[in-house]
Amino acid sequence: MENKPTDDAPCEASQVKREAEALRRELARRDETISKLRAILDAICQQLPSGSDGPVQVKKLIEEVLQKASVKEASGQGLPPETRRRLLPGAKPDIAPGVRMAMRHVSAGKAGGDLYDIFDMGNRCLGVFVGDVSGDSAADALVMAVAKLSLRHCSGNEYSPKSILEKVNRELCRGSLGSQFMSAFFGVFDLDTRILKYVNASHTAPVVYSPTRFIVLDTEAKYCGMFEETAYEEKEAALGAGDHLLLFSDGLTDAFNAQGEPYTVKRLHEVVRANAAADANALLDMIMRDIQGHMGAAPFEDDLTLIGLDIIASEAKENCVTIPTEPRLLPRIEDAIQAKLNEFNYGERCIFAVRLAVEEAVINAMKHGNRMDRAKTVTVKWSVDDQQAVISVEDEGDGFDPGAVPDPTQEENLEVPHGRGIVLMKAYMDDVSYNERGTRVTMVKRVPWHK
Amino acid sequence: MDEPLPAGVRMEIEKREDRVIIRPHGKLTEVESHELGREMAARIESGAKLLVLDLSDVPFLSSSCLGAFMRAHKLGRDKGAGLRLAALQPLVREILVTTKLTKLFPLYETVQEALSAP
Repeated sequence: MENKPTDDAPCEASQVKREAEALRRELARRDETISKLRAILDAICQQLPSGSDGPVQVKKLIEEVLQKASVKEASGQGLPPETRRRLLPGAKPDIAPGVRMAMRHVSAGKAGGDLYDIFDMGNRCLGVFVGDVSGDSAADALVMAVAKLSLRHCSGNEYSPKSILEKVNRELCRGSLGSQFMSAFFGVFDLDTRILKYVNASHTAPVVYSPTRFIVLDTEAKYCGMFEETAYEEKEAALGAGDHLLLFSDGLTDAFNAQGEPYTVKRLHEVVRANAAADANALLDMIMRDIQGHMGAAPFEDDLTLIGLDIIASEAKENCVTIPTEPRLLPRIEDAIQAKLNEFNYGERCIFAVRLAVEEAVINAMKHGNRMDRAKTVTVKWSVDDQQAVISVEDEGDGFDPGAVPDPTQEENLEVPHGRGIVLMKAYMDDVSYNERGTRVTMVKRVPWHK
Repeated sequence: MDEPLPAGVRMEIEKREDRVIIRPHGKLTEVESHELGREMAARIESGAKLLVLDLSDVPFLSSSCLGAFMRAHKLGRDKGAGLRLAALQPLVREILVTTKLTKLFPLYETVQEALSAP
């Protein structure tokens, strides 16, 4: 949330309308981008002599176009922050709370190859995608580009991997590119429920492992781009803290040794099972070593991408301090919370907002709750992680009814001495709620998406 | 909690005939606002016609401070004295905007502007 806390309730409806309008324009623009890109590349593909280094150049071109497209989107173009948050490709793969990511990539320098995308879908969902277009012609590179664009595009406000992949499939089929197919695994991981819903369309199946479990994430499904009316099967897996998810590109089984024997999925699974206590980063090292051991001096003929995700327990610990009713003790609590916010790079505006809200909540608790009775205490609890700061302040008074406090921002109340603390708390925090007795306020500040 | 508790506010006061510039340093919260409020009241009682608060070195203020501004504003209205806020840092300015107190207090970019405005 931006700290432009001047919105009154009547403004909210128009705000939502503006957001919806901006979203609609953005989606229309994307449709246009995809079809333009497709037309341009189609033309290029037709003119390329086979066997030249043309395909590699087309791949470069596509990457440039994609990069420009994402830079343009990242600039936001006046979109409201919440809209940007849903649309942007800028999510860092390791930004999700409770999920750590590791990756290894080997490029064989060809046009076709690996396609992966780990992105924030909004609504506390993480999109996890790996795909592979087997050929290395310019048309294959084009399929990749269209797939990547349409995946993001189709994920607009949809959270079912089945529906999204079915849309991507239709986009690819309509591309009239001939016979390019894409294997794909697409999962949607709900960061709150920790349930991973997924579809695997003929891709090397990802695995979930821990010392106590080993699951292969596979579903019945055809390649993307083959049949327009394909219906995918969707499954789900509950992932807990301590579980790890591994994703691979098809380059894994294209890793041949000098005798022409490929590295096998069976061998991969053996390595995983034998090292099930390792975290994803350590295990990826072991797998890379094992693949290279298998290949010997033979070169990689295909791109190879390995991605590992560790599901970790939330690191947010709750802190609790109880102080007597003495305002001069407050800065120390504020400093402690501020230090934690700094650690997670909440940024100046956010830190200012939290400090202000804590100041207001504690002073209210002391003045109006405990009526400055030094024998009574105020208890402040806080937890901070890389997604949100949650702070509660409780007094030992008789409680109050927040609804009964006159709004001092109303013209007729402007000179009323009290109530501004509540206004500021609500304006500067994302959520403010009271317990039933009115003795405890709980406030939430979510991390700004763009730091 | 063995360290000494924070003391009151540090401020400089500059008198130009019946106009007084008050320049507080540091944050203005519950702890500091009483003292600042007393200072403003004393200046108005002793005949100042214009108080200019130079907030250029105030990185943070809370509603307790807004309450002090409000009391000075009301006292000043009774005694024929004005209160003007000048040189606010951007985040502090936003607090005034959020609480709509800009309707009561004109904000000035500089102390000079606050002094010379009609």
